[in-house]
Amino acid sequence: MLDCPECSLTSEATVKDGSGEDNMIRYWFPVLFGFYDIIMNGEDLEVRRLCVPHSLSLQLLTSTAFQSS
Amino acid sequence: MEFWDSVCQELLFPIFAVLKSSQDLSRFNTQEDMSVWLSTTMIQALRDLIDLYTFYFEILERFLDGLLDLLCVCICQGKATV
Repeated sequence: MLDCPECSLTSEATVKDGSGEDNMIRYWFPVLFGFYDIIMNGEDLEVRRLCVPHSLSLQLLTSTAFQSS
Repeated sequence: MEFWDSVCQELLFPIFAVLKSSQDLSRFNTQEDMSVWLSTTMIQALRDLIDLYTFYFEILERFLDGLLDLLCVCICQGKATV
């Protein structure tokens, strides 16, 4: 899934359609918002505990892609 | 940079808004729930946020003032854990 061009995680994908930042917002912001919602409103401590590092790891991943573009 | 503007202003910093505004306390059912959330989830998020800034300082440098404000608020909290 991460290799598909729509994810905009590869420099090829961002160069191809030139709208890398739009895709970052369109596709990745909802994912990050989902993590945020769980962190803020999740009732189960274990779920929140697992969610925090995954949320930040995903942001590191998108940071890498953003830098390479 | 619009992406990171949105992420920081709408996702990252709002996690810690409860430290600044008592209005955010309404989402907790009990005082105990709030205390547990602060001492577990929020602390973990704070550590990971600092790591995010550490590793990607070049991208996040422009949002450094937000992080420093957050750390000031944490230091001024009466809770030793925070």
